[in-house]
Amino acid sequence: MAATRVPHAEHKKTTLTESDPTCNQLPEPLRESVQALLAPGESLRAVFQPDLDDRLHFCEGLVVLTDRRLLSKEGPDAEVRSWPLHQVKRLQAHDRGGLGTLEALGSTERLHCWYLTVGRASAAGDMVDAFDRLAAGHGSAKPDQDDELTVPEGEKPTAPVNLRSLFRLFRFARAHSTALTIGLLLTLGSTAAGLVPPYLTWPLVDKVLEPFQDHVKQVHSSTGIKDTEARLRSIDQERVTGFRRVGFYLVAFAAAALLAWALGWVQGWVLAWVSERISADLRNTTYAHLQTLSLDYFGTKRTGDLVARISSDTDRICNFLSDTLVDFVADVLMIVGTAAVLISIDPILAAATLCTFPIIAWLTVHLRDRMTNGFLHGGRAWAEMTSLLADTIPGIRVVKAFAQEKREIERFRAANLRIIGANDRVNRVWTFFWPAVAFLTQIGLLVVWVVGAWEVFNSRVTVGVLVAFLAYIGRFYSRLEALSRMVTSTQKAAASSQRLFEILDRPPGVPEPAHPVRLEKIRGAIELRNASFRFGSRQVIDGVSLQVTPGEMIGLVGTTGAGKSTLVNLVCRFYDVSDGAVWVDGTDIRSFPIAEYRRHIGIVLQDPFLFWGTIAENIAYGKPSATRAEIVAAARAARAHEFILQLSDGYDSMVGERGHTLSGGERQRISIARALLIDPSILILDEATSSVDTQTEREIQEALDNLVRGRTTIAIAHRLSTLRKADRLVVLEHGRVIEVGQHADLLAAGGRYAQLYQAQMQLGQELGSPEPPRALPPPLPERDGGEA
Amino acid sequence: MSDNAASLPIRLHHDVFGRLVVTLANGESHVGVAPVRAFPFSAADQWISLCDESGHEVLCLTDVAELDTRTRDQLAAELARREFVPIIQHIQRVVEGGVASQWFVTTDRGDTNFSLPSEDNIRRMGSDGALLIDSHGIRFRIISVPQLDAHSRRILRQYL
Repeated sequence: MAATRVPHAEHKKTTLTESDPTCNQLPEPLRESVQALLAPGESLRAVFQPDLDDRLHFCEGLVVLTDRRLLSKEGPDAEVRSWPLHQVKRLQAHDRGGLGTLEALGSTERLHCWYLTVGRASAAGDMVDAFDRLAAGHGSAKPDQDDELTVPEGEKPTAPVNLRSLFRLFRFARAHSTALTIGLLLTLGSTAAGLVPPYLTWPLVDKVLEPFQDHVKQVHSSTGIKDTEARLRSIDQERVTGFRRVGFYLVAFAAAALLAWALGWVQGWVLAWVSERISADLRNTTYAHLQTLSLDYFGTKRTGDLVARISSDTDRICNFLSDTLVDFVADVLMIVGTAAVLISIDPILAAATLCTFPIIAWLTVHLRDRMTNGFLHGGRAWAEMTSLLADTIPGIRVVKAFAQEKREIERFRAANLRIIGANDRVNRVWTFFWPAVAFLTQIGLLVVWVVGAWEVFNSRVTVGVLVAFLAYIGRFYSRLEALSRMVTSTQKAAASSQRLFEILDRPPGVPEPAHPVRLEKIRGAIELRNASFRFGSRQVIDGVSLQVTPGEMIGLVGTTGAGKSTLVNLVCRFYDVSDGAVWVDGTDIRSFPIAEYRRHIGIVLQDPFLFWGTIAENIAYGKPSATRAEIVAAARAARAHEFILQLSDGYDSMVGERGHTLSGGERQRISIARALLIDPSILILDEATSSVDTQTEREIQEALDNLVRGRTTIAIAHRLSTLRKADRLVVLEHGRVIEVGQHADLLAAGGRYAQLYQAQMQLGQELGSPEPPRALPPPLPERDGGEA
Repeated sequence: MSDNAASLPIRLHHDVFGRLVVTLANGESHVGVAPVRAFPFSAADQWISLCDESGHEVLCLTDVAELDTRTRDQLAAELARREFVPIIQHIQRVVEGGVASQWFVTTDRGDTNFSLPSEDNIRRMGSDGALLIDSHGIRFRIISVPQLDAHSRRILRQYL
């Protein structure tokens, strides 16, 4: 029997240090309660906190594994139960439908069962691992640093919506600090200029108009000047000097207004310019960061939501930065300046003016949080709607095929209803808010009139002062009102930037190495050393060890869910192994720069994705600098050249988002050309031919044979016939390698592979053909538009 | 099918049925071939493939400059007879009608009008060219948008 059965390899936890006391790594409150449970000299191995009790009510429990015992405490007041380790044969974790269990099994019975929500499932898995290691005699079970000895994520209080995320935008503002400073100086200038005109009303009334009026009265009432002509002459004289002074004030008035306008204009332009750049930076940074995130992040996020975050949320922030922020600074300056001027003119009147200010401030603060939450809900509802679009538009064929248009319309309507609901709530708040502020400003005006009139009657101030005050107050209150209106857009922007930072704060899926190992050319020797990968609590790859020599073709065989795709994802470093390592050419792939490493890997997937662009661009996707000769050569080798020539624009033909104008086989061959062009040392074929009929498969197979030559290849296929060229077949089951060998040997061994092969043969015979059913073979690859 | 065949003398002629016949350097001849540009927009005069009636490539000319003048002229004439890509020189007006729009244009082949199904059917080509694909799949080219007259540019700006 040439086929070898690979034993489940032993764990080697080299990263763990034996002496490290785990207790100190626990967060403060947990550490105390754990320490209270331990006997002297007993050392801690692992801690797990189930969050449900046996009635499935929420309850923080505690499971502690030490070198002697397994301890359990369900809830703060519950009694402690403990089992000596020799009683416990096994720990096992399960989760299903959001509910997880952790069971401790004795040799004859179940000792205990803990319940948990799925958020803690991976922590439960860690507990199981710790136990297994302990049982296997590898004493130290110190969890990895980032593992769940720290409090599970669900525990951390989510930060309340606040303006803190807005302040974080300063990171993006720093790059444009010069322009921002200029903008701010201009704001200051225009604000100062804006304060001049009302100030001029005071001397205008008190020094020009009133004296003139007094003079006229005086002339009329005086007995010294007899004849009317002399009187009129005196008044005229006064009028001329008065006019001259009025002229001076009015010119100054106009000049100040002009200056304020000009400065305001330049300032607006400068700040709009800056904010446009800041929001572009924000978009770029977010998108660039998004590209570094791991595949499972995209697996859990809805496309529409991400699109909404990068497009509409940055737009809101841009609006905030260009309009609101500038206005805010200007308004605050204006208010402070006005208040200063008012106080300098007359403190009592100033106090009367400012009396409504605290009420407005209180109202603003009070309603602010409610508004932000409302806007956050609104944003989420909006994202939900765009997600729906991003879902159903690509899937429109399925929608139509199942005649579900009505239901989709209903779903869309429901999503819109949620938007309405969320917005109604917040609208109710601000519609109350603005008129309330307007009302308060009216009250303020009233108070100023009352106090002002009283003061004029008591000759404490002149009419000129009162007029100047009223001129200022108009400005003051309109600013104040504008300021309160800004609360809305500020809170919107805060909610938006929070959604953006949610992306930005997420660490990249696979970290770049600290000390990268350069690689020029790789030979393609792949070695999996006891590689394991866990997805949540599920062990997808379990201690796989495999050596692939350069140029060898490995066929991965196994039932659906056996972990074949995950294994190649590990080789491509889409995920990092949770245990063990993947080595290429004698180096751990984690020490290569990611992009440089992937440049040596060619991938052909089951559903080839073509980007919006020409065919030439799509073929050259992995190497944009490729010459036309290279592109044509790759297309020829991939058997794509001739059908491309038949397209009306040849290599310059546009293919849509999902390449809808090409058939499945054609798209697949383009993707093979794409992989060929980068001349990879390692080639991954993930079900490359399973989505096409057998006739097309033959054509693709020829293309693939060209591709495979001289490269280390890992191919996954359900149809075992497609793997006939493989040097070795590796049979996976439940994440483990169970058989390795050549087709004939494996068949002779009569193991799992033989079973799979027999089953396929049988199926083929039942359908009257040695191979799986064949669609009507078209004479040429069909080009029927969209039949993909 | 080898690439260096292009530098070798090939001959083209039409047979009595009007079919194009290519005679390769080794004396082999193929009847009924059709010249096809592999990169009609990005490299029109390179990578011209001669395909037989069933679509198989007989010969690929990487650069027509390598041909002798007579053959090159023959090839150009043959391509001109097969290709119909009017070049838009002036846009008279565009009538919006619901989804599609009707374009009235002056091309190098005379005045015409065509219907453009959607905005996606206009795309930029190169730095300042544009390509319009009408509802029948006919391609209209604009070599350089900035070199069009002001009126045409104003219309185009709404679409590009």
